[in-house]
Amino acid sequence: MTFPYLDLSRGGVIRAKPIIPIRFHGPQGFRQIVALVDSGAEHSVVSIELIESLGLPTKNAQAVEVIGVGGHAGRGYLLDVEHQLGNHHWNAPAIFSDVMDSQSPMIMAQAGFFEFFTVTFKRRKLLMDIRRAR
Amino acid sequence: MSRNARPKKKSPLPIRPRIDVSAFRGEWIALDPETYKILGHGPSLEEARRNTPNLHVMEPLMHFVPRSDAFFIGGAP
Repeated sequence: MTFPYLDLSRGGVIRAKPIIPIRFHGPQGFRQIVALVDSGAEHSVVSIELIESLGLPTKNAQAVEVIGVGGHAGRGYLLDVEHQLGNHHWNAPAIFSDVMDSQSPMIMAQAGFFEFFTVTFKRRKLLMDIRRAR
Repeated sequence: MSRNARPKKKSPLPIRPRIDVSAFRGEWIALDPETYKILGHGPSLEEARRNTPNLHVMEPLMHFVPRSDAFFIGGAP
């Protein structure tokens, strides 16, 4: 699958970002979000709002702390969720956190995404090639 | 290459979508999954989703627009 980078313009500054559409499935249906493909992030992180929106059971959720560059910390819940990209479905844990609702994009990271896909970034062409890992 | 062999056609590159999100800082926006056109917006994921026309026939692509213009330098925050 080839995905073009997404040009996001904020105040006239255009930034091309490696962003993909990811679908999450839950008891209340599915939601599609755009997420940044970030090979440097340890774990996929998405908005905490998706828990309620998808109706995900939180009984076995594990409270975790997330930390990024600069040491800014936040809290989140680690939950298994069904992901979908194109025709590919897989189950993996993702961190649902409210830190996504302030400054950061949602992130597809090493655990939860890169362990399932081989990703080639073609920055000069502003394209990503994503294939199921074999 | 034989005389009758046709050169392989390169498949066209996908069109790179461009979205101006400057008016929606700190909000969720709902995008058409095919065209990436902004269809609706709101302060929460569900409100933005509900503000999308034709929700009964098409599930929009949701995107949260960060409040800040700061450069994102990777890793979960």
